[in-house]
Amino acid sequence: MRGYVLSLLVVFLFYALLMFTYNVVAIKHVYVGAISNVFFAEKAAYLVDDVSADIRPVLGLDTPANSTLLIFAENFTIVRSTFFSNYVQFLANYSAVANANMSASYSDPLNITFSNGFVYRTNFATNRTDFFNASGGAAAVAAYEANITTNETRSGLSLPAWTANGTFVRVNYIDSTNPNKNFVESGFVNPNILNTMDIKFGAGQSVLLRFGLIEGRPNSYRMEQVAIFTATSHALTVNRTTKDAIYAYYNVPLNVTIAGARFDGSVPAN
Amino acid sequence: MRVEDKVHGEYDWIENWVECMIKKDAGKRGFVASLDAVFSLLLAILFVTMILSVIRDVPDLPSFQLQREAMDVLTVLEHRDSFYSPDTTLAETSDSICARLELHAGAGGTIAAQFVKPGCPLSDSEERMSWRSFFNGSQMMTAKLVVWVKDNPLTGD
Repeated sequence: MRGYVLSLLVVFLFYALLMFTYNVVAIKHVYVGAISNVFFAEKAAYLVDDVSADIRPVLGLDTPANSTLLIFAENFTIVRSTFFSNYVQFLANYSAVANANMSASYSDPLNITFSNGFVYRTNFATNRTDFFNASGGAAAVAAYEANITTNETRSGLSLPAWTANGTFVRVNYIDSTNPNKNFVESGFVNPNILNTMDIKFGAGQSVLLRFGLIEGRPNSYRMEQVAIFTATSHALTVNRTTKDAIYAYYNVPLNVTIAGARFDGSVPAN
Repeated sequence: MRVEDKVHGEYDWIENWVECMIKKDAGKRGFVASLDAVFSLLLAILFVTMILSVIRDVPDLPSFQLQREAMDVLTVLEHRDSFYSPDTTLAETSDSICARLELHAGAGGTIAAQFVKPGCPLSDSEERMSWRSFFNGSQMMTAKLVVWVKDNPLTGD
């Protein structure tokens, strides 16, 4: 009789130990599962940042912390339509390497859209770059600073009508073939009328910098190459009137799917 | 009838059955005891197997941490634009981490360049890796960062 009682006790002991171990492992699983989920989310975010960093050499945005500045840098030496066409194909191959399912699509023009309604748009087909407030009203911008480098020598320059106040404008022109033609011009312009700086290159060939009222949008900016493609780089620094937090996205839809996490949206620009 | 008497009454048959079996097969008690031992052993084996099977499913946490470290280093390399001169960044990683950076043409194509963190062997059996794509000005490239724990007591490295 005692043997059977002992056996029953052993069975109960095993059962108790089993339950205890099961609970310990279950808790550990919950803990590890939570860490795994965080890791998968981090990896998805990492891949999204990876794609964003790949686009930056074409059109980059820097938003310094605790600053009102938005700094755009555009490289015109990269054939952008070819770049994006190749890049979409590259992503398909990269997916296998990165152990993720990634796909993106692209269509001209390339935009950076901000959470406050600002839009930076670069149109490859028309060689035109715009910055404006798409949500209506004048862009809340105190100053524009444009830095333009060209690979041809300018023949003339026409300045806008400077005013006593308004939006401050500064243009730094670098002529990479003839440094004597470099210039820096600055002044205030009326943001409610169209102001044009014309950098002339030949008959009907110009790089036009426009400030103010453009297509019905006050205090906007446009850089346009007319009958010439001479700009190799274009950097625009926008000094906002407010310092609120701002988020920006390329108009490049991206899908990243990995085991345990997924991103489906536009590529972040900052 | 009191509750205690009812309970005793319900379990009397077990006691009677056991006594009967003992009397009937008194000569076979050794066999029953052996059977009991085998049964216990089977239970023990079942118990251990279940625990091991559950524990085996637990993901490898250090692996996550190593991959996280690799992703972090690759991000820094891209932001510093220093894929082709990574020594400074690799040297800034933890002393216990070893790393090897491979730069591949296209998406994981041929190796264009390779760098190893100073003081580390070329490879290890407990490697973990992460990838990152980058544009080198003319073509898309991929960087593969392989990391492992330098002083791994299990491997003796």
